[in-house]
Amino acid sequence: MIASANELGLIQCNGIGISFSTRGQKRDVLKQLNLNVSANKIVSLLGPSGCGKSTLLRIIAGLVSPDSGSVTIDGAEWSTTTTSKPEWMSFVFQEAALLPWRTVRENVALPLELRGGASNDQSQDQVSRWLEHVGLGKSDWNKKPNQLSGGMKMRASIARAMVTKPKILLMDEPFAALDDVLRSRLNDLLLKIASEESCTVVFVTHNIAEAVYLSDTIAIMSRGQIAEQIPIQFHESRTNKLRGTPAFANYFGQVSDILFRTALDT
Amino acid sequence: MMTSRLVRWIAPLLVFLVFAGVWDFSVRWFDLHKVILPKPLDVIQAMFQERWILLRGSWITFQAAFLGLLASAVIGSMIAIVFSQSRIVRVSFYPYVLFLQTVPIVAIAPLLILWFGNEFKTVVLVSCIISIFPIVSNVTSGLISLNENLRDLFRMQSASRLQVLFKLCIPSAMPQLVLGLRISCGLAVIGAIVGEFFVGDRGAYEGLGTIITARQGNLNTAAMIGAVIACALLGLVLLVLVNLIGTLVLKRWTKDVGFES
Repeated sequence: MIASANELGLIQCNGIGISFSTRGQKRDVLKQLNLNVSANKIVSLLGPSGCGKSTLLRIIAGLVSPDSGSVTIDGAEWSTTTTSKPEWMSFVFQEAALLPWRTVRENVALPLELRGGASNDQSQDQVSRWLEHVGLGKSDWNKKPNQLSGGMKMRASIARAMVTKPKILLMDEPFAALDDVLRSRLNDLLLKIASEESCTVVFVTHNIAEAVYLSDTIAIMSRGQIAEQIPIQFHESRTNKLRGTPAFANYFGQVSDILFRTALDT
Repeated sequence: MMTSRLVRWIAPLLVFLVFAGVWDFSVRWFDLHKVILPKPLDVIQAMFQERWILLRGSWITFQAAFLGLLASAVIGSMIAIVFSQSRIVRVSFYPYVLFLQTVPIVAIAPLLILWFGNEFKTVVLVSCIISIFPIVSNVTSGLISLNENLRDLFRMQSASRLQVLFKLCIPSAMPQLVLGLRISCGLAVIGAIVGEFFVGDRGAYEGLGTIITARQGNLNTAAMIGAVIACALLGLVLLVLVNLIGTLVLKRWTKDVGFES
């Protein structure tokens, strides 16, 4: 089933349009936007602030209804009322968005709990497995979020997103608040998880280097549309060494060129 | 460190001594009659003489205020939960809750006594009515002003309305409930004392409010001032108690909602 959808794209956005009114002034945020995301790929949405990246992500998530156009997931129409959402996708927010009154472990178990299945052993094992997998030591499991550093909170947030085995992971500038070292560590974690779990990722970022490092495709947004899509391929495997290679610099230059050009257009 | 802690105790004490000194001096200087203004020592003496009456009265008034506050916490939170579930309900009923805040409690206390009698439960009711508004308004705003990401997180999981209410809204509103309680606890004491004023000595018991009205009848100003001081101390005790409970509750709930002590 996924194979047939693969050619079309697991996620398809067709002619998406949405506008918001601020103080009586209507502003088109997305205009006739088309985007295909193939299964098991990582796609980054890159663009200047206010270009509609986050809005697009929220539309794909089914959190916002577009004024026009449609989203299909694996060939099926997708909307804010779709109930099969939890089986398909998870969302990782810019702030880790952990519930401050719950321990890290309880936070990670939350999605399973909301589905009424957190109490069985299998679910508990699943929670423990993901806590370990994202690199949170047992001593941190019973801490409250405010006792954790920013990086650890984000790890917990990723564990919570993955515990339901989503096929699609939507991430809205998840590492924006972290320093460079932490950011690159979490980039590696994300790459590892995405490939191990065969997860399709749509990743919103401001950071060009991060987009180049992570993505199979970078979609550059401008004026409410996808201005350009750049496929990224490396011969080397994606490790920290990659960042120093000419190929990496090449892509970096290419992407920033386009970004700069589209920014001038607006 | 030691000296600064010492200063914290000594400085207010000095202020008190200076205040009492000026008070004592004024009474002597202007030759005031003790019905108008007794000397500080007279007040202390009166308090000592009536210590058991004052203690029992404080305990009774404390119970009335505490039960009134408890009732407004429970009823107020329930009203807030109903309010949080529908904008229409909120818009329709909010003016009437506001009415509870704006109606002078002195004006409705006699009515309540007429309806419910010269009893302890009427005093609790007066205390509840005067202290419920801050709870309703604070808890309602806590319930409806959710962190957007957290709300989206629950929506992504197709959480039910009840799950959102119990696992997200109510826990999120706990700090607001504690805040409401802190505002309300002073009001609850006022409500209890006002209630007792009206119950007066027709009632079967003696709270601080009843003591004040009775001593007023006897022109025993020193004892009246003593009872007023007891009222203030009672308010302080309730505030400390609420803060203590609040800190304990919030410790579990959020990051840094510590109370300045």
